[in-house]
Amino acid sequence: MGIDAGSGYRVWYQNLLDAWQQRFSGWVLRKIPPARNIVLGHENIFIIPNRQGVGFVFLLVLMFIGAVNYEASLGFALVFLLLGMFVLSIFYTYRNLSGLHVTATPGSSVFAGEKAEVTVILNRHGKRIYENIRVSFPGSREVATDLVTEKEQRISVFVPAKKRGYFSPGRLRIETTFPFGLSQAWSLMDLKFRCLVYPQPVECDLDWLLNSHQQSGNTNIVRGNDDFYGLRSYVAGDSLKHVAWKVLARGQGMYTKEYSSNRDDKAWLRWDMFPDLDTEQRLSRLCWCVLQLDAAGIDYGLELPGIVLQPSRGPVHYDKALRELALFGLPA
Amino acid sequence: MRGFHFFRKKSDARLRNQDYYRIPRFAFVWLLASVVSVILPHVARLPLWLTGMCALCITGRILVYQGRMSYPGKQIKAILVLTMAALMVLQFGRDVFSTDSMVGVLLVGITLKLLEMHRKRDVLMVLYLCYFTIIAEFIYSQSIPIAIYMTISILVISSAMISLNQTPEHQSVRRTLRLAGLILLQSAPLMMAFFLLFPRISPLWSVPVQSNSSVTGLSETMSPGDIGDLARSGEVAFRVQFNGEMPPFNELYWRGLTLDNFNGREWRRGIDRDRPQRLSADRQEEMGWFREIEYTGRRYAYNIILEPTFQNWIFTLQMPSILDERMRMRRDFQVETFRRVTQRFSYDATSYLEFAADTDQRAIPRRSFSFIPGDSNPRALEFAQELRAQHDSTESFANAVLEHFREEEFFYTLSPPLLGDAPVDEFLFETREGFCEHFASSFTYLMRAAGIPSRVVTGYQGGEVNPYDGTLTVRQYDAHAWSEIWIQDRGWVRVDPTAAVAPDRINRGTDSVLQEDNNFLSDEVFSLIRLRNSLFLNDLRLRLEMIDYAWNRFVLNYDQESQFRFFSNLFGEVTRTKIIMVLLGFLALVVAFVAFTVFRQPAYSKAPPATRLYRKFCAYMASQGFPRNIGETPMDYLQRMSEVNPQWTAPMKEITQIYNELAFVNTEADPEQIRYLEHKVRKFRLLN
Repeated sequence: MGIDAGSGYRVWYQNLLDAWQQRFSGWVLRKIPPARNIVLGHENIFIIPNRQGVGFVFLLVLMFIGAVNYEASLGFALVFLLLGMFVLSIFYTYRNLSGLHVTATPGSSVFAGEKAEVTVILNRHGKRIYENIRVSFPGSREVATDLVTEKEQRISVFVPAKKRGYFSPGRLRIETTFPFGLSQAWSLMDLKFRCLVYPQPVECDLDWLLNSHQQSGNTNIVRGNDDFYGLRSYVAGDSLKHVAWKVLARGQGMYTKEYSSNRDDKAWLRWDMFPDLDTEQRLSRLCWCVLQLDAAGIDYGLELPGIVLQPSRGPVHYDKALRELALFGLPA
Repeated sequence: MRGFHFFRKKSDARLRNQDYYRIPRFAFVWLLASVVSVILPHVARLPLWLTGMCALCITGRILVYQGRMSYPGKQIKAILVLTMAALMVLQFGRDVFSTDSMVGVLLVGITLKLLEMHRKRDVLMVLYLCYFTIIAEFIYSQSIPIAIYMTISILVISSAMISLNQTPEHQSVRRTLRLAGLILLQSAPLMMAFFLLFPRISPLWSVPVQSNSSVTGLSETMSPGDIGDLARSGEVAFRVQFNGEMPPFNELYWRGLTLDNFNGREWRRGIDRDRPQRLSADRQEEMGWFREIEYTGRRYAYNIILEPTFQNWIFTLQMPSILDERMRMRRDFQVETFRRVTQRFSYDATSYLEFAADTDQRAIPRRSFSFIPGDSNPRALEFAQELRAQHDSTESFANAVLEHFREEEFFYTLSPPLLGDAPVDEFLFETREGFCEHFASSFTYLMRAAGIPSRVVTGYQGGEVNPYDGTLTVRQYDAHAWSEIWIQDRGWVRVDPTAAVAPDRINRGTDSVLQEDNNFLSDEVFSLIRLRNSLFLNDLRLRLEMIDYAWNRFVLNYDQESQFRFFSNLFGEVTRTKIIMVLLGFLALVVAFVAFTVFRQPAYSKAPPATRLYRKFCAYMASQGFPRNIGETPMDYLQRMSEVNPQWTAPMKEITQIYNELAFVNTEADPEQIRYLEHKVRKFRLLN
């Protein structure tokens, strides 16, 4: 933190730390196997005096020297009292984690580059209260919480999802320095859950793509919804943009407006539409297309190597398409 | 910190640091309380400007917190620091590295740091310094009230530490205070064990203690009026505990300085060419002159706890025979320590009331002990020589002088008229009012005028016996001066001319004689000691003094020696390994005790009954060799077990389902269902 003793030393120190971290990580993995929910106890809590604790011991040494030099009996008493406090605080810090039930559920799916929400659920039993428990995933901010009057706490942690596919936010780190901040107790756990991350949408020229790449059988594809065709009864999942609000306002029920262009026309989103791009770039653009077409309410089909989704629309289809894009080419 | 955050990426560490740290409201209040509580006891000793500076910084910090002021910029901070440094040099001058000024720097440092708290680390730093300031207070005072006050202070600082680690949402003053109190209470046994057993080290380097408050006590010289001034003070000079019987009250002469150099007005210490003598029990290394002291009569052993005198001479009863190795006796029977007494000093000594010292005439330089400046007090000189001619022996001459004091109109008073250039003459023939130093000085002068070797001894006489613990408290107003004259074949003999004038002073103590004197105890306006006439209050005072004595003797003067004694009483022979073993053993004991209290209520104790039953079931399965894995869900467990033994599937499935239902879905426990689950678990155990 405050030490700037030459970069050579720092590099060396950092390497040492990294190596240590790796070994420790492997050890932790063996010690705390992945599980859906975990009760914190002696087998999965680590505890160590932290920097402030080391500082505190240094303070005690200084105070001890003062007491020795001034032959102040009460000075000795004070030093020993604080020493006792320091030793006990380690137990209190440990206690502030032990017995806590931890589990987590993923939030809704996100696109790569966004932050995935993970809800960490902490439960306590009995009279023991827990204060200032900090929860984080790698790359996320720390969120602090208490369990004093409440038996359960739900904490939303936002974890950056960088890549598409099934995303596991990594090991949940749960730590505390309560009560004195002189030692730190922590646990690392793989809560065995994952959430789906869709490819990051990248904009492309959809009109041109659709016009130039449509194959025979589906002619006359025009993007747009200009020609009003008629009304049909609203079906759950229809885009709200196409609800006939005026009709609804008259109290005649909910109808969806149909347009000539999207009634018959089907867009095919194909792998081959982006010949010059690599897999991820193609998926990103296809993802963007799916979003656009879904918003426009046009039926679309998806054709990836080995996967064909027949043209359709609605949330189920939308999810299915994005799911295929997210998982394409990834091991199951 | 780096080393301990193994799994946090550097980037988030930076993220957190960028966050502007705003100290939680509760922690802020606790912090201010801590700072004020540690500064307060110092205020009386601090220069006014320093207190003002502290107050200024604290006020500034409060304004910053309220948002009425922003953090002071670099320039203002620089000005503050420079101003303080300059004032410090002005105030303390050459003593800028003295303890007083260091404490001042510490206190201003703490309050200045308040104005520079940008991170949690800074707040913690302030709290650490607060702990440290308590030690600084103990340099000055370790009395019981201060100890109690500081305990409260520690509680406040510890609460501040806790509140700093609490979330801003859930804070209650009571809970924080209670937790701090509980932890401190639990560390008390550990403190006691370490206090008693942790090896005490002698000071690593000597530290000068300077205090603005001047110390009352005997000075190195004696001139008229010096000792009278001491009667204004009721401060304790030292406390004595006799090991066995106490000598008669009128024999309680506490010898301090031997003054044998007279310049006509003032008595000073003479030059002593002999090496000071160690008085050990075995008498091996003693030198000639000491061997010749003959001790007769009763032997008295006692312990003295001397209040700091900032001198290196100490007090003993009459003629000491055994002293510990920290002390030496000079040729003139004055006892000295190696270091100045800047802390309470406890020592054991053995003395005799009857002795014969320097009986041989060759042992004393007769001329120097009977030297008087020729022209200083001519009338006295003439008077002495005339009187001496009428008596043949030294003894009868001395008695005649005492008789003179007794018969003529001499008054014992605390407020005598001032004396001029020939004080002995004026006192003997004009004013005739004086305090012990006047009598001792005049008497010794008359002796010397007649050619008898003599000198003045200053010290204390008498004391107050506390009926509750039998200790003798000697106060400043017990200060006294008397004479020693040398008589052939008898050696040095004590003569107290005050006893001739005011026998009550010697037989009953100063306060019995001076009760009515306006100057007596005039410094002790608010002291309990002024209330000695109220029976109840005096009783209360004596009881408090008893507690104070025990505190001084057993807590504050618990040193290497008492530690050694304590340890060997408990564990026999003292060895280093043994001390370490005992300490570690005790540490383990306390930690085990605390671990027990901390974990006494297991986290599961209040688990819902269904969970308990299910755990019981799992425990049974584990005993059969199939434990449930850590983190394995009940359903996974069921799956795994049914593969192990298909027979278990049906009953186990039922148990698991009921448990899942009760634990996760329908948490309002239905007693009927729980009983059913209990039944199922029992049945399972019976059948399998």
